[in-house]
Amino acid sequence: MRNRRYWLGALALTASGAVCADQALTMEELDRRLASLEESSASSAASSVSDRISINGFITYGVTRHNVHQNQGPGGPGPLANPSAGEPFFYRERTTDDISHRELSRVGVQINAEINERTKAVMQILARGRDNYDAEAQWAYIDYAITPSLHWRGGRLMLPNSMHSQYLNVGYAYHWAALPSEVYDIVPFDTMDGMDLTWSFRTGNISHDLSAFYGSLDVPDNTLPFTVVYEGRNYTGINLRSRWNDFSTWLSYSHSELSADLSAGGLASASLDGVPIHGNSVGVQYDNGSLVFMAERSSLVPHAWFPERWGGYVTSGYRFGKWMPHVTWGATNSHDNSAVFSSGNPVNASLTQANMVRSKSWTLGLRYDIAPGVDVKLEAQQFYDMSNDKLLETGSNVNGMFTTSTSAGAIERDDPTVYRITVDAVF
Amino acid sequence: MKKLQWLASLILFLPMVVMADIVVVVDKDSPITSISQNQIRQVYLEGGGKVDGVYVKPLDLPEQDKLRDRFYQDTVGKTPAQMKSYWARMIFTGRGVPPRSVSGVSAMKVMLENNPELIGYLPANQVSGNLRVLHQIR
Repeated sequence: MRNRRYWLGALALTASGAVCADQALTMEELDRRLASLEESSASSAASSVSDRISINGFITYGVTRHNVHQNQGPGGPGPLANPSAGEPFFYRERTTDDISHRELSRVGVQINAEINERTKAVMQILARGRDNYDAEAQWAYIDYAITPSLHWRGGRLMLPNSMHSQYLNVGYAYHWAALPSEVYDIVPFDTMDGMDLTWSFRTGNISHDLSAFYGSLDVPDNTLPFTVVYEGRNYTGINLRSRWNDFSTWLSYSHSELSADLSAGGLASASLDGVPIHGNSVGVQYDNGSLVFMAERSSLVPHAWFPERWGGYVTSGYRFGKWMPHVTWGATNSHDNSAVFSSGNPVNASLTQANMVRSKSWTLGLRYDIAPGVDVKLEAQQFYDMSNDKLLETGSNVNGMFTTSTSAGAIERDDPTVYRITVDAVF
Repeated sequence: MKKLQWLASLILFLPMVVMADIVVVVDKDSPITSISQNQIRQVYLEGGGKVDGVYVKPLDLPEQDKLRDRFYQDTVGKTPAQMKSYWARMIFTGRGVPPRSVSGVSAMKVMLENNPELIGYLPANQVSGNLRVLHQIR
């Protein structure tokens, strides 16, 4: 016993760097020091493993369908025929009146590795049901802290097109089963390859993140009968995210030059060669713990046949314990494409007409938090005012986001509704 | 008999622990002498920050700890589920990582006593002489 006490004392004294060997130490004091040493060695061991590499993930399982039990019409003769005649209406090109278990389902895994005090590497892999769970990197970058408040990142980054764009696949991070399509359907690409620079600063009690990015993107698109690769070059943008107590705001602007070769489909005159395209977005959020309010407006202005489009929504919800009912009104519209129609290029004019979207919707939803990290959501989104007649562009798409064909005939029922049920988790 | 003592102490001390005031503390060697509720909120929502010109990193009690839930409810005004959703946005956009969690109150004390750059919270009746109280919550 005496030996053990001596040994303990020696260990504690040596380890804590004490120089006075004669110092009288009680058994309690020794125990306390040992405990603290154990704690700090345990924590430093932990920091080498759990702090340096962390793995997080998110998953959503969802079912969705709409209520338009009607097939697309045949259209007119010759070039006016509808290539999708007899097929169902496809909301956002995919959802039909059959239940889909794939459309909303996805899983993501993120690995953060701390390389040194200033440098880390982050990789996030996403696999979506609608892509047959083929995995793709959404984020893959090196982050270097030039100062604690100034970070440079390079690699693959998610585009900050709108307020929720950079976490649009993380269902648990928002109250809807799906982000409002009026805004999140506008820009048809999510990621870019390049870099960004973010400066975090405060003015009084307001925290800000000011970020600028530069990069490029190549997006294959299969919505036409042949594959088109859209090339975005010199993609630049700036955005500001600010937070003050329960309020936060979002402002963004971006600019790029878009090219696409459509000659493979005999549409050479519609090919794009470095046409300027810019987007902007403004948003506000309020969340006092019970009451949630958000509003956002985004727009995309391509100087090409791809039509100009803006979209916005206003949403509010209230948390009753684990339950959160919410309501959203959204609207989107393509307008002022007169330059395309007056250019005398019939191919471009018909592409514009097919891609024009006018639509409004009411969404009613309910979120239930099963436990911290797991929720279940129910949602119904009813669309109206999808006619493009008001734009005086005869022959335009009259079915909003339910088809891109201009000759499908109007949806007959006056309450086209998309239903969604999702279970989301983060881990 | 031992079991009885244990039960008695549980009955005596449990309500004290549950109802204790929460204090925000640092090591007594830290130059920080006070912190506002808004600063606490910023440090805990941003995973760190400057207080009185000194950079501090926050520590958390484990998830599902009642004191942690009360701390967040009283300072940040968010439930555990809301915090989880907040950190989901931060983690998956690479904008931040949540404060490091320690195993419990005693580990929180030891970590704070040995690291003046850390900030944490404890039940008011658990503060030792080596710690400085910066803020008291109710």
